[in-house]
Amino acid sequence: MLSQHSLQALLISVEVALGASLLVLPPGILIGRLLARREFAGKGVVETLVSLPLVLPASAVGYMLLSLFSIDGPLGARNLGFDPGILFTIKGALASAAVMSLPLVARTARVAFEGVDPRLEGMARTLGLGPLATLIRVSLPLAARGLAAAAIMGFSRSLGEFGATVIVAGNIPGRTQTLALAIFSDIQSGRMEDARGLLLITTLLAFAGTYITEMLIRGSSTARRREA
Amino acid sequence: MPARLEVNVTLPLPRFRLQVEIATDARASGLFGHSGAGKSTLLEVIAGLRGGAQGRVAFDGEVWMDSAAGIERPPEQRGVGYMPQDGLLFPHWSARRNILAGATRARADGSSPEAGHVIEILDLEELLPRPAGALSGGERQRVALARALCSGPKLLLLDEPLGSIQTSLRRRILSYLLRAREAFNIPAIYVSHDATDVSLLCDAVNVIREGRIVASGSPPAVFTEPAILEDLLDGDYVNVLEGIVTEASDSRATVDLGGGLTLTIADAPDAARGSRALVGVKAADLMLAAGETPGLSARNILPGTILRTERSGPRVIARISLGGRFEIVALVTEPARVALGLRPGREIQVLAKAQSLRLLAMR
Repeated sequence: MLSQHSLQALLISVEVALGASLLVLPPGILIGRLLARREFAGKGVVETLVSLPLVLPASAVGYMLLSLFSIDGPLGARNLGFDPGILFTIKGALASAAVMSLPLVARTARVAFEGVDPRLEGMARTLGLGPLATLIRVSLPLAARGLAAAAIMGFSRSLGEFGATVIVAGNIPGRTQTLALAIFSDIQSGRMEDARGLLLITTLLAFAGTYITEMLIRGSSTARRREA
Repeated sequence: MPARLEVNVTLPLPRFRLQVEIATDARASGLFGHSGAGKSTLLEVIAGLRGGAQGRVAFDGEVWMDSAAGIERPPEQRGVGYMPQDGLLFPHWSARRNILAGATRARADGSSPEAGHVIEILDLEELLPRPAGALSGGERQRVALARALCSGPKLLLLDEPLGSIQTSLRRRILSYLLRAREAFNIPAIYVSHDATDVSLLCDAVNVIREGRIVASGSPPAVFTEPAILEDLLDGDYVNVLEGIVTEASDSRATVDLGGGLTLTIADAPDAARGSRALVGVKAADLMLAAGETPGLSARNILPGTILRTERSGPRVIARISLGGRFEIVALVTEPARVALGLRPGREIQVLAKAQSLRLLAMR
């Protein structure tokens, strides 16, 4: 049913989305935690910067990444002394998806942490748990559903990433061509049958991801209401 | 030597400035005040949960906070056993895991009550496997108390431990608190808006009003000061007497106070023969008689001696010694004081209906 190149695109997409969501989860959780619990100078600027990829054209973000990783760029081969191998590789697709999904992951993680009663964290501290033990034993488990939602949100957003990916990773079938890129190529070359197959698959994946996220978020808010 | 708690802090709050100076080495010290007086906030400052306070907090020679010296010990290094008003159990854990949440520190310390003993004293065995969310209000309070006790605390901070509990359960929780006080002997601060609870649980009390300490001393002395008394619930003080239940039948109970003094309580269904009972009677419910009074329905007639009398608005606070064993307070009117000739040294009879006595707690 799926052509060889469609199947390849699906596999690449899943690989990229998995990698990107794993990559983005730790910084996303960290930023979400910071924004939920700390007051600091310039917090508004950080909030805005984190959310910027949501509103910037993906192609603009792609161009920034391209400049960043180009040979003479700040993270380019010349500066680093080695070639990070980002441009026109699957790593580039991964980096693009990660940057583009960071806002959603960080924002969802922030909401998850804001839902944890800070008094419970204080309580843990009085019982002799340090800040790290409190985070691991109290805050993370209580925010777990919201954080899982954040991870799936990151995965789903990565699956759909197009604009930055096409600039940073190119559109190389079998190497960097993801579902989103493959649909574009199929339409460009008139392979409507293939495009429709991919459309069905992406819709199913996106539906599943969004549905699970919604359920997780709804579950965590009803659990909270029950506690209260 | 008993451990001493010294608190001298100021903290601006929305409605007033918390400005408190307390020094106490009482084993159980009460912090009494109406809601919104700053009690819970002060407890949070002592626990290290509330930033922004200026001043100094020290316990048993350890400085927990000294804003001038830049010292602010994090809560985990203060060794307090904190029990907030709502229990604040960890909702993702069972009762057992909640109780053992601070056990690591307790083990490192070595000196604290053993979890098994706490569980036994507070009757928690059957609750242990239950998830925190499946506990009733009273059960939550008991688990929260056990959790505080099992964390190896040097100082217990109990915020309205009876505050959110319905009346029928209060007596049981109160009994548990008294048992814990007896069994573990850990210095404690009890925050309460209920003067009777403070009288029952504490050796000393500080009264806080709009962020300031306005009176301190022993609970009976403080609560019968005119300025404080007027501010109590119904402007009335509840005398607390302790004795042993010698008879319990038909929900009636007889309590022997010693020295030939006995009390009859009309409604004491859970009194058990041989156990210690704390009995409460409101100062305004007591009648005084100048001589023998035959033919009265009152079941409690105790001989007493007036220690002193004091005007408080339209009323007179009469302090009475019962056989030199107890000191109680009766509220009478000025005309009654004159008619009975109430003055220090006057021998009188103290009368109370069996129905006006309340069994406050058993232990």
